[in-house]
Amino acid sequence: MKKQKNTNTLNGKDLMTVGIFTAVYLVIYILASCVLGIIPIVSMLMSCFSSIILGIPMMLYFSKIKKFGMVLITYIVNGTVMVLLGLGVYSLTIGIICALIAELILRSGQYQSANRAILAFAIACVGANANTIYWVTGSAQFLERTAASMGTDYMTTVVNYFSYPWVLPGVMLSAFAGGLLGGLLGKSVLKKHFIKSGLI
Amino acid sequence: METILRNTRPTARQMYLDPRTKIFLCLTVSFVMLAGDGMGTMRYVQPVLAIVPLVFLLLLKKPWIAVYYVGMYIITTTLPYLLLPHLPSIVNFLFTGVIAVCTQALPSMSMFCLLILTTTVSEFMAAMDSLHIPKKLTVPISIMFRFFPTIREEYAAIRDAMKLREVGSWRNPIEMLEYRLVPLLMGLVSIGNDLSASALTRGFHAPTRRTNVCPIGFHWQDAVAFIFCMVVIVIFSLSLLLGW
Repeated sequence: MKKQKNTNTLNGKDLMTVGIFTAVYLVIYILASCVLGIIPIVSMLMSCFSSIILGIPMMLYFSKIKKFGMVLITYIVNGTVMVLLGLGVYSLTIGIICALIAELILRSGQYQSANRAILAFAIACVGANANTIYWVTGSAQFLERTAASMGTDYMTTVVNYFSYPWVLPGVMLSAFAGGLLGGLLGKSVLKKHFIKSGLI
Repeated sequence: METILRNTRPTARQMYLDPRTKIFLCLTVSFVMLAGDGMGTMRYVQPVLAIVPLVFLLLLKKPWIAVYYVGMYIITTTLPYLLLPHLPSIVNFLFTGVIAVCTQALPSMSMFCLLILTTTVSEFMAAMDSLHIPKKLTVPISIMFRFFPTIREEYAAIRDAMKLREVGSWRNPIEMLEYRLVPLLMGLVSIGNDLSASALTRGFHAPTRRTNVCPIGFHWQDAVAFIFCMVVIVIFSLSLLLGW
């Protein structure tokens, strides 16, 4: 078999890995959203919980990454699916920026450092959960509109984005914290199961 | 002679439409529902867009999904107004408003569901090739669609095995996560290795153009869908610019 000249470009096997882990990522993400999104207050903390659960598969994925571009493709696909699902374009736009930062962090450690992988995953989580912006602004818009059409009785329910300025940064921060926790959990699971069994 | 190779017209299995038309329809529904604020003309356009997935569901004879869709739509449009006066404003902000936003997301979710149900991987690849989307994006997406049923199957097997041994239940979520997710990942990684070896030996990554026998091409029904999308987009931009 002829060896590829440039080992830095993605070959078929890498694209396969990207496809497999993107599928796992999306299935777990959507399942977690469906289960946790129904519970009232937890729905806003969902980005944190889903990041913790996703830590295990994503740490395995990040440990397999040796080339530039794989994280980027995963988050582009994730963002595109979110756009087609009608959940806002922020996951795609901010997700790409955060995935690029994550790629650079991974590359700065020559794709070897576990701590850098955890940090990269946490940053990528912030980008992937960015469509919470759409939920928060949409919710505020709806409340304003309803309050305006219902008269003064409902003025107590008037909420605009500035009534709760901490919500959006709070969600982003919880996604980041969830990413860090998930990364640590993933790292320990990796050590406990995958390295012992000789999978990586 | 009508064989599967000669059949160039999309049938009910493909929702009578070209995959590119379906993606365009999906994007139109998603963007207009998302960006429209439900004021002015959009008050009439958004319900019309919400009917689009319903029409397709009925055309494809999927009555139960249609009933479910209508039920969910009615719940998300009425429930927030019933809950609103009885809850404190922070709960309204974080919960009631979010249900209301679901009204806008439901039609596009259903359109995406239809897109996946009625498009095979091969048709999707053919459509993406003709749109000149780079292979680095389409290959992972096609693997992804190929993998969804595998994940489901593997998970069911692991769940049964773990139930049999009484390992992990809802009472102990961390244990459950560990003893279900880890075997699942182990299984999937080795399946993935097999799959990539088999695909590479079949010339999966060959630099040549991929051939196929899928019924890809535009017909009158695609033209109707395109005109519909264009009308919606024009009305949407007019209402955005002129404030109708």
